[in-house]
Amino acid sequence: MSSEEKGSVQLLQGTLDLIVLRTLASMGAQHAYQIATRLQQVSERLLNLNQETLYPALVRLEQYGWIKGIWGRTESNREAKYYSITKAGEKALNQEVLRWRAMAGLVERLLIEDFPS
Amino acid sequence: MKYLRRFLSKWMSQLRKDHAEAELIREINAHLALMEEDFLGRGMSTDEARLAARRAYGGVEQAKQLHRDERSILWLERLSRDIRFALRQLRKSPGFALTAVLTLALGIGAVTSVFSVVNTVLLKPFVFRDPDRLVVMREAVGEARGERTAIPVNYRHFLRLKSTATTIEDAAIFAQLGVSVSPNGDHPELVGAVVASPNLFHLLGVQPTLGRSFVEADADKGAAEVVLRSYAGWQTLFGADPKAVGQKLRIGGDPVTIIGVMPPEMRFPQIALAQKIAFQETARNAMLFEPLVPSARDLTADMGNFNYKAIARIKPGVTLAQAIAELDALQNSYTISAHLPFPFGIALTPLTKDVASGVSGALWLLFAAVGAVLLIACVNLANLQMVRAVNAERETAVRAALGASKNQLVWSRLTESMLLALVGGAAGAGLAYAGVRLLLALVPPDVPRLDEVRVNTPVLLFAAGISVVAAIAFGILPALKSLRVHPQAALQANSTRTANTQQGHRTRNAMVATQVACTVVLLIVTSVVVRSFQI
Repeated sequence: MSSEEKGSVQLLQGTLDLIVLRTLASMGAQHAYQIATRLQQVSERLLNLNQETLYPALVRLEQYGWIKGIWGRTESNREAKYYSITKAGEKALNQEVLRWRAMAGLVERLLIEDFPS
Repeated sequence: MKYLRRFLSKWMSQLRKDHAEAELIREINAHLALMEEDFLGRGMSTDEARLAARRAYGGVEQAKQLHRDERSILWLERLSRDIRFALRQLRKSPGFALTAVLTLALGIGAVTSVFSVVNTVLLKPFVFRDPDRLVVMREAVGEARGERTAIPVNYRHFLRLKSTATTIEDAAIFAQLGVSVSPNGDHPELVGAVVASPNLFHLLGVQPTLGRSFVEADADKGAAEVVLRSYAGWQTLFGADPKAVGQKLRIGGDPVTIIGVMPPEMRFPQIALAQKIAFQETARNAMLFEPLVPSARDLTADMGNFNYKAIARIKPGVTLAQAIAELDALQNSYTISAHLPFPFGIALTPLTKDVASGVSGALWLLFAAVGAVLLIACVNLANLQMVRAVNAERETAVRAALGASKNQLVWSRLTESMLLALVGGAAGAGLAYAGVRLLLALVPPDVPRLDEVRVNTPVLLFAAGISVVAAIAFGILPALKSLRVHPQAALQANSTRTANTQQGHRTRNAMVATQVACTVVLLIVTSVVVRSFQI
């Protein structure tokens, strides 16, 4: 499946950060594959996330100091890097959520005004 | 805050590049292994699972590159890549690199040396307070054909003007002479001295670093003789002894007391007695300042005794023309009412202009001449770079075909020019140290402020700036040429043919024309410079 396929949603700039933070906040420490799988489940495959695009987001968030990666072992005893959200990350998540809500609300209002249905 | 943090960790990852890279590979491998395991669990065979995992993951190499772009400082990464590339290219043709660096070093060195003189003599302001309002005052006498000649100032005339003129705030009168000094009864030395009205330093707005300045009482008849010394004088005559103030000194046999030392940055301007008349002046480098005690002749003689130089400070808001008009009229009416045999007037010139007058034109011409030399060097190098760009066309074509953007192509060629120019510029700055010494030996010694000329920070900044400008000047055309390379055509053709295309011809003709034009300008300028220094 390519991301241009019909029905799939293109990610808005910056929303991936929010989604990853939210996932880690609610699910605890996760490795990259788990995050990718989880996102596909939640979006019911609407959001087709290329695995390769996840890594830049993880690097960015780690450089902001919002998440922290630690090497660990999976249940099947394979090594994996587990990412968990930090204190600063939780604070940032709250702010991002507020910002997103404000933004989404604004767009919603504009859409209702322009196309009264 | 978060950006600062990110910036710092980017630098960290830049410094620990190998670590970051190893970490990335480990993580991607772990990711692939987990996916494989997942697919195995769904009943695939080992090989199928491996392939499926790779497919699902996407491009591993692309992922790595995305990761690198995200974690590192992109421009730094690109810059270091371009520099490494340029160094490799230059190492392949050391002859060209050496020629380019030497040519640039000579060009930049010459321009920088002349600039250091221009900067000091023509551009650098004096350390005096509001130097723009300082003017040199001279008397003017009418001659046949209506021309007027400036002559030195008569003391009596000066006093009258100072007390009556309303356009000037203050004025000081002084004379320069050589005096013999013996610091502690040793063999006497001849040094330059300025005998000035006590308000001179107040007028200039300079305070001594040690001791006190003159007061009006110092110029009274019979007052104890006192003297101020310049910083250089303090160092050469007294070995920078901090206890020099208050000590006695013999000037021409008379004991005088040292009352202060002037700051090091104050150098007394070399003002000519008259602009067009040559006077033999001894010991121009002022080391001592004495208060001027007017003699009986100074106070009474209206004719003759035109022995002084004068500096005036124009009142704020008054233009030079207004001041000249007032002083000239005052002097004119005085000469008529006092029945002097000649009509006298007053000429004022701004201090900065007066000090540099006579040489400013020649200096600018010299600057233009070395500028033309640098320009010719740049055109030549542009020509060489052009040939290199044509030779490298296949390589450029390959890079373009592999996906290098136009920006990257231009930058990587321009980086080579920048590198050459910076090395050449550094060598040129080194040459400038020697060049300045050579220039000082060549130019006539009466060029003012020559003793202040040196290669300093502004001059070095100028050299750096001119290097970058030169790099762009000789690098931009060849660099832009790589944009016109069509990968397919270039890969098929052999390089000797492309060198002879119509396009290459036109650019080269233009460059030859520029070079000829520059040479002609250089020749004209050189002959004018030679003439102006001979007169």
